[in-house]
Amino acid sequence: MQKQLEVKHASVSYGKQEVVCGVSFDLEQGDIGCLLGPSGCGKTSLLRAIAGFEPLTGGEILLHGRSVSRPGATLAPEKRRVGMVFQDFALYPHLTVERNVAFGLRGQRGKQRHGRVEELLDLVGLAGLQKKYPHQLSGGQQQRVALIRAMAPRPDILLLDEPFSGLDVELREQLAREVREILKRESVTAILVTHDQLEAFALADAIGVLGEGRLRQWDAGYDLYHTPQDRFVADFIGQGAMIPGRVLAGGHVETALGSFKGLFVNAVSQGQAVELLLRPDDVIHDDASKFQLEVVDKVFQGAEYLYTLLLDDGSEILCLVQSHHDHAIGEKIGVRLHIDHPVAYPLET
Amino acid sequence: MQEAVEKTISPSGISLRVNAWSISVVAIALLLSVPVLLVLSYLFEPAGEVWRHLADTVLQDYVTNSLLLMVGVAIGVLMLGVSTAWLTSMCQFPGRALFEWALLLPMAIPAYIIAYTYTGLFDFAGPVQTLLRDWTGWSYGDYWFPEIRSLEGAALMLSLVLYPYVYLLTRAAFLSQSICVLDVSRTLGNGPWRTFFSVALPLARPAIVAGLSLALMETLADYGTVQYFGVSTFTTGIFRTWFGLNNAAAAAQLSALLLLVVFALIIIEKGSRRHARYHHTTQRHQALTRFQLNWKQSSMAFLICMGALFFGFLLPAGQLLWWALTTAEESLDGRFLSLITHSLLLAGGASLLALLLALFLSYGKRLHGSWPVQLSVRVAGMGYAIPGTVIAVGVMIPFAAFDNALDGWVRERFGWSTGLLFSGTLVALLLAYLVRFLAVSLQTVEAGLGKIRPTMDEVARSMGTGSGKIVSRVHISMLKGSLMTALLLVFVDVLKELPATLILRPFNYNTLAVRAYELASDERLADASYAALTIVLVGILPVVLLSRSITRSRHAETA
Repeated sequence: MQKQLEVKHASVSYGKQEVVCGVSFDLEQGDIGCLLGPSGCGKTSLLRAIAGFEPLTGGEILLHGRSVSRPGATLAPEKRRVGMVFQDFALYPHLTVERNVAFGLRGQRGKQRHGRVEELLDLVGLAGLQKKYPHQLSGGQQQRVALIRAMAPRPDILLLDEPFSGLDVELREQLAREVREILKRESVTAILVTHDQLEAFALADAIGVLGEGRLRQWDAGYDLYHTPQDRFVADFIGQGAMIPGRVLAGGHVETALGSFKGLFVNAVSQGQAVELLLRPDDVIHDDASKFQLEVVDKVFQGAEYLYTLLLDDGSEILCLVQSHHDHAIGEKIGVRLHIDHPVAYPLET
Repeated sequence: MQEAVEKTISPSGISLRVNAWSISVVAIALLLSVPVLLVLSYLFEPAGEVWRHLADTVLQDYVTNSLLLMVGVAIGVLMLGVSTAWLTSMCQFPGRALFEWALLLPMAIPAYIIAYTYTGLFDFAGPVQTLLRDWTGWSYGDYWFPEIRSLEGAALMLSLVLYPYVYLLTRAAFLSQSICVLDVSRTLGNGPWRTFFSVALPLARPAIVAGLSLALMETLADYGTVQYFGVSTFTTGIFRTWFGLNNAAAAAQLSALLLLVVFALIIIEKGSRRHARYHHTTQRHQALTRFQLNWKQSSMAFLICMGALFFGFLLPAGQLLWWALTTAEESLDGRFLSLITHSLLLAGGASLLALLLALFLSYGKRLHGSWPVQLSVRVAGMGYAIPGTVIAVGVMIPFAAFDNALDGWVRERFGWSTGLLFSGTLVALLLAYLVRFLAVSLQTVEAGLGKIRPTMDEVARSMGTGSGKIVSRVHISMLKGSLMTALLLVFVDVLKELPATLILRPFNYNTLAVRAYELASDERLADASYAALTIVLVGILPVVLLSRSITRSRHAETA
């Protein structure tokens, strides 16, 4: 089957500075991908390269099998059949909702155009607001108008540039789920750019983590969290701590909290010093455990406390405990490990 | 109970002082609005003999010419202002950064001065036509050459120096448009040209209309250009009726009519600015990626910007410089020195007075913002759009009436004459300047004061700083820039002002503007160059100030 989007070794540079370096991934028709990373990681530049606003300095981008960007050859954005939703929505303040949505439907007959606009307004529950102007809408409504305006011409791919960051925190998650439902119902191929991992988890089928212009890992959210392929991804996704360990025979890792059958992202040799990733949910509170650790910090999070515990060797681990287990700083509590994915990284020397 | 609470809030004595302050603010506003109200009152005066005569003969000319002039200037400033604004803000081509501020330079040249230089360059005896005759061997009457001293010529002169109003506001509008709205249009299948006409231009429309209204207000206020070119408009009509027909009432009635047109423009301008709020597109500004032009487009862009700069500034300023260096007979003697002294005294005095009044009014508004105070400050700032000719009429009539009444009374009582106490003195002239230019310093001071948020006062107070200390430690240092700007802007405006000075100045009291006007009227264009060049050079100062703020905003943009 033909891929909807193929990005092959794409590079983008501003002057001498390369902000996207050799990124490759692809999306099937109907897939929702996400480019996730801290600010300045190059994710927006890559998105703008896919839209056609930035030229490539290396590699190639194919849309629906057609090469649209190569170094020295950039197809103009208006000829790509891409739809884009911007962080600030970029609605046209001088046009009504209806005319905003119909903006990309030039060349269609009036009746057909009208039908498409009505259909989309119904889809996002904005029927009846046709004649309103953008400044008369709430933030969430504006967001939905921007979304269906981009979807109206049935683009080959929909690009979403931090589409939720202008909204209230409470609204974001709800909208992210709604948007996913809408995209899936219309079977739209889409890429989301965000720095918010919860948004990425809520919306995307596959997530690429970008760091310093490089694609670190392309995976489902679950795998990014539990089996991060490098330290950068491990640090960026979720919370967690590293504890020192040593590789034993048979691929086991021995730590101060017991030994585990390790998953290694790099080749390791027996006896090598490694670090084991511990997520807060890998550490279970158990008063009967033989490991009794001192509480050095605690953060109340409502249903849970996030405790920071001190190991004998001076490293610290995080532990998520139901909040009726209220322990004071300095007290010792018992923990045991329950790790499904004991990921170990060779210690950098 | 209520009284007790009030006392704890305001230290004793403050409330009384604030009331005196409010009353003074209202009084100042009333005084400044007398000329305008007086002129307007003539709308209800029964039409006299002279008025009927005017209406039968020349009034139609005044109306038609003024309207045609406005149409011509509108076309000119829109074409020059919008195209240069788009090119310098959204496109990348060699020289763009230079043009960005240099395109403001024509603002430094008053319209009547550019008119003198173009007449010198393009009339029959001028170098252009002389050269043409030398080349072709034609003589007088053999060929057609556009007449610069005409209605079209006046529209061209005014367009060349007024387009920066449209340029400035439109450019700001283009820059504040989120680049995303343009990008969206591209992704929805529109090319660059279509995007410009269907998105960028409609979004900037309120700003364009506001800039256009300002340019048209200046057009209506112009006296020097149309007088020199012999085009009969409202302003020249007012002059002729007053001094030629010696009929103050009819002149005031003409002024009142002109005022109505100006008010219509003010309403349009204010409405557009209000509307512009809804056209604001974003909270976040992405760094602009300007359209990279190829060499063909670049040369077009360069030619357009260079054309505006060359014909609006370089050519006229160069001509003035040439005259000053070669043919001018008037030397830099004591007489010229006295011109400069008079101009400096008037401009300095008026700008200082305007600044003090502006401070008094805006602090009054800040400390005691009841509606009479707010309204008064608004009224006091209304004069800017009003033509100098109209203000002069409005100042002259009451002062003359007062002087005559006082003189008559003293003569009857004591048998000697007081002469003219106010009319024909600097007092009348300064008052006229204040009416016209107070708005400039008021706007600047209010903008500066607006940046000192009330919370800053509250923070200082919470740290135990008294009101006086707040003003000296916080306000003065934060306002310094605005105060200097206010002084400079009014100073330059007064220096350039022609019609009000011409009418109200004391007998034989010459300024640079008046002297340039007189010499040009005597067809001694080259001799007028010293005075004109001085005005232009000083006029460059506020342009530098403006262009600096433009460059600064550009840095903020890229940061």
